[in-house]
Amino acid sequence: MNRAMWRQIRANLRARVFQHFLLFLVLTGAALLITVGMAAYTVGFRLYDRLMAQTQGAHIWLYFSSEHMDVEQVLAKVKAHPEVVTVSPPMATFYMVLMAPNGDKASVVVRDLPEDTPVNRLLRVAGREPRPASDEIYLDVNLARALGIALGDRVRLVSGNRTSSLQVVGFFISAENCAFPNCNPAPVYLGPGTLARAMARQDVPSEAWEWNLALRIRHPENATAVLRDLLQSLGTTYVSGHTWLRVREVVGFDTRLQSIIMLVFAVMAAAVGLFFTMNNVQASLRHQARLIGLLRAVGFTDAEIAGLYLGEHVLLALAAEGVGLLLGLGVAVRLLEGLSRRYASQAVLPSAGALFLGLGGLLAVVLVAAWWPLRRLARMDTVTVLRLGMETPRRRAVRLPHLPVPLAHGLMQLMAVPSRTLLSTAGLAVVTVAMVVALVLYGLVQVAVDDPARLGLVPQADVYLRASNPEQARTLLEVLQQDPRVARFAWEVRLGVRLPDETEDMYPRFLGGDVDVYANLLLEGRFPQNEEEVAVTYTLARKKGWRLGDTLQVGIPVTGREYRLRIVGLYRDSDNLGRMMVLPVSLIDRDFGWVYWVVLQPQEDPRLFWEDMKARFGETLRGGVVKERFRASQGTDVGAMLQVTVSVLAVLLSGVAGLGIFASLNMNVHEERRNFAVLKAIGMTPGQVLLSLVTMAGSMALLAYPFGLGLGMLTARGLFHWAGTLMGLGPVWITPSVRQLLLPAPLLLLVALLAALPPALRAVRIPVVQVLREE
Amino acid sequence: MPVLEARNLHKVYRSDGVAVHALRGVDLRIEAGEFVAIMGPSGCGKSTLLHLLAGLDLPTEGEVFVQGQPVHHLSESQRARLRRRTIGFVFQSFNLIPNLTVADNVDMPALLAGRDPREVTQDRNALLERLGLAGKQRAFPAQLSGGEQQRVAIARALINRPTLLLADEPTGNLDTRSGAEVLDLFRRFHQEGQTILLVTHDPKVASYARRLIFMRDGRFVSEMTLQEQGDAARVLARLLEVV
Repeated sequence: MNRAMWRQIRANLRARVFQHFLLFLVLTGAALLITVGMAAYTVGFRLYDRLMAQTQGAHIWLYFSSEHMDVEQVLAKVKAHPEVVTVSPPMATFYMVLMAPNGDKASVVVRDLPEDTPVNRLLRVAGREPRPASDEIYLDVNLARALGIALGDRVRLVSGNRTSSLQVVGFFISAENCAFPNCNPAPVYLGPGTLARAMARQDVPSEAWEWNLALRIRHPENATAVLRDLLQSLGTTYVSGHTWLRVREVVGFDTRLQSIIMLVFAVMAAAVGLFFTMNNVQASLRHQARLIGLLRAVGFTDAEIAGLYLGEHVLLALAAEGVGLLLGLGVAVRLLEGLSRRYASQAVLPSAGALFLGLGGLLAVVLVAAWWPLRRLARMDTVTVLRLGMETPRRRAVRLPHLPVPLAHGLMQLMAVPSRTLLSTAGLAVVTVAMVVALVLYGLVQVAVDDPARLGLVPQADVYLRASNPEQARTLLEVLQQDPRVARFAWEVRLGVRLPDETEDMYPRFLGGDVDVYANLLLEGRFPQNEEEVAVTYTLARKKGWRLGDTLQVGIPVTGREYRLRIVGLYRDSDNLGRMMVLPVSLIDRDFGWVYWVVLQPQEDPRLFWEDMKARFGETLRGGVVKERFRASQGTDVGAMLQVTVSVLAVLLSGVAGLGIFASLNMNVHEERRNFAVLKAIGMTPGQVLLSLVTMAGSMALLAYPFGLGLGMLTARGLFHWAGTLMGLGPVWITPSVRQLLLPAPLLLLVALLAALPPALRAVRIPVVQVLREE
Repeated sequence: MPVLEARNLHKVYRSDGVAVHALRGVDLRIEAGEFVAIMGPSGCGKSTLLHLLAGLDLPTEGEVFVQGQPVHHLSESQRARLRRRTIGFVFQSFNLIPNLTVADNVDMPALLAGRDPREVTQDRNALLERLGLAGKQRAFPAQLSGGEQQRVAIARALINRPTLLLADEPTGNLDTRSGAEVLDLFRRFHQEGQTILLVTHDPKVASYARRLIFMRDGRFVSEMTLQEQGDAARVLARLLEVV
């Protein structure tokens, strides 16, 4: 690029500063959304990976009971594996119920705080560690947040009939913790040696203790193969385990959901940037036809002239990307706050690679958008543009529609430059897509919160009860069988099951009672009715390529038996990211369950029933009214974050497209300045001028709506099917309400009209006399 | 009541902080059926006066009445409505909307005024036939000659049967033959009772009027009446006296 070109670029930027400023704002908005998308895309895994590095997180976890395995022997075999680098001391664990001061409770795994462990260190985020043999407790910060526990609070740990009161002295986060039941994370630690002494005092035989080992290996990406080796050498019956890869997958789940949604919005933002950049370059070529002729006359080649426009837009894009990047980081930090809090509020920053990809992509989009209209240069005749100051024909001739003049004039303007109209309409259609996705997702989350059974998140029951010990579980069954308020109920036991080609145990549901309570989860077929049948989740079937009628070989380590089971049903289940199945409880000879799903008689109040159960079984009974219980867990975490995210993104994208429409109509007013002056001279009132421009904007919005609605529905459907599959639910879809489908229309109209208002007022203020004199 | 009356019109423009007096106390009264031409050299204030009389601009001082209505007291919208009902405007450079057909260009003021489209179509067809443009309804301005475009502009100016027709150098962009055709049209419409006020610097054009007003430096300096339209030599002689 030579000096003459630089000078001309500077002059061009100065000459149409407002138009360029509007494009700069559009591109800034696009860069902002892309930065947010890229931040979301990279943040989840990076935060978890960082936590793994900070805490020397374990790559493999092993669980075994000392009843069947000697701790020292296991330790020796594990250390002998060539891939194993570091092994933690054996950690004794115990299952208890943690009672918060506000009455909330959770079933937790409790360990003694290991002293100076080389693996799975806990990252302290508040307070201090508990002292040895004290009445102090150290909690996972996310568990504490969920149960409303603060530093200094006294909490109770309940085990059987014994209750201990402990003071919370610190919070930590650990790379071990996740929601995946296989990994048995320990969110509660006591002072070193406390648990061991307590168990000894209670005469808990050491054979009954469960032990955990945390391993770091040489090649973390090979964790699955190493686990398989270890299980084979240890004997798979009494040892189970999981890898860090599985935890990472679970941790990344909600991030991935958010990041894909944000990426979809980023792509939409780039599309809006593309449409309005093309509009801007086309307008530049129209306005500067004579200049192009002059540049040719003084010796510029067409390639150099194209270089001027490309250079101008690249400069604009780079400036916009700089500002958009800074703003985007700010928005990303706010939007992903919920996620970063899980990692002790560590900063949420996108990786340099993702940013390079995203912003480089936007730059490429701008270049393509600028280059496409520049192909017209080849068709421009130098003599014509020098003589007329424009190409011929400048605008498409159209017939005035048979409508009131302001409306007809507005429509005529749209038809006069169809490419600009189409590009602006496409921009608005993209906004409609964003609105539809946002509204449908918003509605879907609301359904998940208000009626989780409708989405197949839980069985169709009124009350959910979970026993804390076998005695309570047995009594619950008897009580429910005799209670006249209960219409029917189903119960379940979760027990480790192994598939031949899997290293990690699955924890499927063994169902008893009236399995029709689960009917709303069925996608195809039915639930098993005898010991030769099994139902599997949609996700598992998809992953394994299973179909109805196929036969599976399933091992149950606890009983040591193998079964060949025929798949009779496919169903939804989000537990374990969909790695789930339903088996008849008769396979394990159990006559009671730990979890009960109860359907009450129609006239019964679920809340009263739950209160009655609590009064009867005491505070160790967990559960609640299904709709209320799942409201908190489903509605406040991922759902609430998603609702906020899509709303913010849709508003941002609407703003970006609004700026684009503003720029487009502004160009129109600029080009039509003389015609507006003539119309005013022959009697068009300011109100009619305003109406003409508003008609243009409104028509574009109405044209964009059906296209955007269709595309939005397809996008939303695809997105939610994908998300449902990711969650293990299988395809998820709730038919949107009429309100959800219609609401984008007035919103879009509002965006278009607000964007049209400044150019319309500019048209109203055109000084007729001055313009008519400019001949 | 006069069709048009202006009293003590002053117009001052500000350009780079300097006051430019375009009009310095102009009084004018035009009765129904008159054909008046205002003549003067470029920059004497002719077009400024025409813009004030049409309500396109407001005077710095003075009053304008169109059919007794005080234009200077009306809002912009009211002036626009008054213009489309009462005044037809013909510009030097035609100012047709380039992407509208001849028919749509002509219909525009009538449709803006909310007239019945069928009635407008009848009026337009009649006007275009009289102006020698029958069959050109579907043409676009770029497909017409300069003279034809100006005739379309005249049709547009007359579609609402205005009380007053204002013309600003109506032949300025036309060749001699087309200019003569346009002036003949003006004469014919005047003979049918149309009140016309045109501004020009061309004595030949001015000679088509019955009353001539000479302007210089924002003031009327002289006035004459022509008994015979087209007596350009007399007009030129007078012009040379006053300018």
